[in-house]
Amino acid sequence: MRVDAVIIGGGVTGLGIARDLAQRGLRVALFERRDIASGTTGRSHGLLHSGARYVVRDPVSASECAKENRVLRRIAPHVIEETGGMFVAVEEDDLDYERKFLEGCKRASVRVEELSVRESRKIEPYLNPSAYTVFLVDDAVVDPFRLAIANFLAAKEHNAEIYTYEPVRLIVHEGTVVGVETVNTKQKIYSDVVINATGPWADFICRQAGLEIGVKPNKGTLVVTGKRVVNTVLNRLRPPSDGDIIVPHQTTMILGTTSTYIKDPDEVMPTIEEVNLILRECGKMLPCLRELRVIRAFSGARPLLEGTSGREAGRTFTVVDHEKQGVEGLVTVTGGKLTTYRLMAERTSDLVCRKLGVRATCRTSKEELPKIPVRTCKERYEASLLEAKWEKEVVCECELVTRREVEESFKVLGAKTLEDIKRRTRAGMGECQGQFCAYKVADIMVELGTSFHDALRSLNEFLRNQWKTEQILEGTQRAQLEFFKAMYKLVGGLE
Amino acid sequence: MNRQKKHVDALVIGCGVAGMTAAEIIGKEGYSVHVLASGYGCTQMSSGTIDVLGRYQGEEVVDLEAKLDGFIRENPRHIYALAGKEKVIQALTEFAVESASHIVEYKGEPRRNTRIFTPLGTVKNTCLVQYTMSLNNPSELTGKKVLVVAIPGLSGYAPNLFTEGLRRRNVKARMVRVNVPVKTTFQLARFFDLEAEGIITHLKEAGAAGFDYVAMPPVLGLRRTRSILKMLEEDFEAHFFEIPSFPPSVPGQRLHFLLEEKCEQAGVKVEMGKIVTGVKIKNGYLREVEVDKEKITPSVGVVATGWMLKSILRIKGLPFQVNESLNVEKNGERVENLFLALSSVSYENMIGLGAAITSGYLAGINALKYLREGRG
Repeated sequence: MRVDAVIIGGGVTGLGIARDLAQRGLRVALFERRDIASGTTGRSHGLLHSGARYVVRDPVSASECAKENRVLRRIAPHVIEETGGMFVAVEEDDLDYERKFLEGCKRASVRVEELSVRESRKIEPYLNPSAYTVFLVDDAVVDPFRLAIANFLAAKEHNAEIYTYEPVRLIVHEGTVVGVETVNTKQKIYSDVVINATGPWADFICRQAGLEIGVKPNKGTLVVTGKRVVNTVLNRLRPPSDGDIIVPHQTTMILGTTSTYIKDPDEVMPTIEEVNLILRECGKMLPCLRELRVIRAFSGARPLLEGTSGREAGRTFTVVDHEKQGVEGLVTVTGGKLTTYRLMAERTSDLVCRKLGVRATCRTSKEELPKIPVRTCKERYEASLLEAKWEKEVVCECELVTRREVEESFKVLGAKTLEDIKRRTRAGMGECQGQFCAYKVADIMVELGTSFHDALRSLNEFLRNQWKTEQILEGTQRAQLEFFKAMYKLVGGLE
Repeated sequence: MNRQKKHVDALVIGCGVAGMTAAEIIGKEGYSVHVLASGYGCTQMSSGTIDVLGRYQGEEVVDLEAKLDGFIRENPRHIYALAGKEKVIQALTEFAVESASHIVEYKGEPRRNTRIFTPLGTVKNTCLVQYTMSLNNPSELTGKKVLVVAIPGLSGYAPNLFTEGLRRRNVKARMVRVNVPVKTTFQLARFFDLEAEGIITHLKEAGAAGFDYVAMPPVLGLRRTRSILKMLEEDFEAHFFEIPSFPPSVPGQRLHFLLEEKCEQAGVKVEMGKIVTGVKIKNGYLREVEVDKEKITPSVGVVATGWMLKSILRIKGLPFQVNESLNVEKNGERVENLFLALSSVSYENMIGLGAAITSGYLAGINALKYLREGRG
């Protein structure tokens, strides 16, 4: 097979590049070793930054965020919830930061508005009454899975080929990268340029061509609560630190985060200490957190570039043409934020087009991303009230996922496993964490042609992954998990 | 206000399988027994199948009696070891034999395991199953024509996986969809109880005829199962059987009814929605139990609260500990008239309700022994 460009990595960046280049008329093929949005993208908190978080330490990233925030609201309103954001100072926070914050916002053109605590408590009644300063900013919430899927669909519309569960290796011929070879089937795909969009894994690919880019994988842990009690993103008004963001997400809230350098971006597991730290710190903004059920904790790996520590390191990105280091045919893009993924894709695509002598301009900031055949929870609740026949098709009762949505995910959204269904529909992200719908999804898989063996293997993998939460659960919740294990192992006979 | 204290011979806390088993054993010997429970119990959260020891040392258990010996040797603190093999088998035998004259009969041989197809189409080893499920096993079905009834939207089992699971074992299985406007197995079971004829018409329309066997989700009535099964088998000239389902399950509910019926026959009074608020232990004896401001003075007590034991232990004035032999102690001294019926599920060994029945049986006979010897 021969294409103009091969993209390695199916996160939003890789998918964004696939969309961009395909729109510009290039023949592209994307290879992802697992599922789309299964790496860093799917483990982000989905905060569409206004830029305010970085105005003091990282003004470049702040203004990138501010610009892209506005672009994304325009091109992807269906994957964004316009929540607004608050920066909240509680008793222990440094007054001096407030001054730096306001100066920074001004410098980076980040819109900010002061609100009295009384006013802000009218918007968010659960906000800590002893908060003393509140600023409103243009933060919003973006669903990283829906964003990835929208880009996937857009790329496909323009005939990009996207292969999931297809790990690849570079083919290097006399110091030039000439394409990739699939690890499992040994298929060779030749291309004029290979784009390495693997985020924290970037060096794994670079090393195959004898290069080193110096990405430092940085672990961030997030905690999910079963209920959503705020409609605004809450940030602490202090230098970015651990446990200072609360993001309402569909039916849940995602609390974060932490920052630790790690060696291997595949080795990311939350620890009970991190979970407790996040709950304690976030609880200072939202004291009622104590009473909420924690349904999950997960960690992702950020691709950070050179810097002294995790919080000091820049959140900007880099696009490297390895020709300068003597290796032709390879471009790496890494660093950056979910919020700036489109800009990263644009810059990368610009470089690729320059290299290939293609004269085409970027349209990704102007054209809207395609609609997705899977609803958000809000849309489902509305539909459940309006559509008479709706109820009996429900597969996941926590998130009201319908059978049709599961089927569409398998048929047109490239889902292959139960995990993939979770990413596309949220079946398994709700209160019961998929325990009461996993077997139903596996059953639909068989109905659509998957073998008995593969469906059960996928079910097993899904459950094993869901049960990882064990280490952060206590008391009643732990007992409930035991119940679910009994359900599948004892009643279902799964080993 | 000084209320009258009420005396009973035995007070059982918890109305799950263990508590009800213990209560019935004591009650049928003529003693007055009172069962108190905070809720409805978790019996319907089981699949209703009695798993005793399905896997041992990584292998499927067929000869249960032989493997129990080994298991007991290796797990001296397990409820099976505390009871001893003979009592385990005795408990299961009595349970199975007595069930024959009640709402739901259990089939199986307490010394040997049987194999059944699970809701996912896999095969597992279990000991006793409700008579509606006794045909649901590979040796019975291999080579036979089986129709699997799938009800779209019904929770609790996976009909496509089940059908594939049968085919993998050389069963000529076919699946048919029957549209019945229900979501849960409980709704459908109540439907069957009320008007089985209506549903039979649905089955006929879907083409459920001309098969040796028909596999149904476990919905063949909560109370009228026998007559429903008979009606179906006559109408279709086929054997009908039930596939186990995930919790909450109708067979689990039938098991609760069975235990309730047996308790009632034994003169046991069962009260739900009662929370124990205090316990008095003096000089090594349980003296008084406070329930919603009412005071009960039992001669013997049985605690069968399952995993909620911890919350019971937190009750004020209940400073007891449990030792390795499941005896209750206060300040290191044995509480002579308080017995625990406590066990837990093991996935590794596929142990389920078998342990619950054993623990209830053991607590029951220990309490009886205490009552007979006339102490306290």
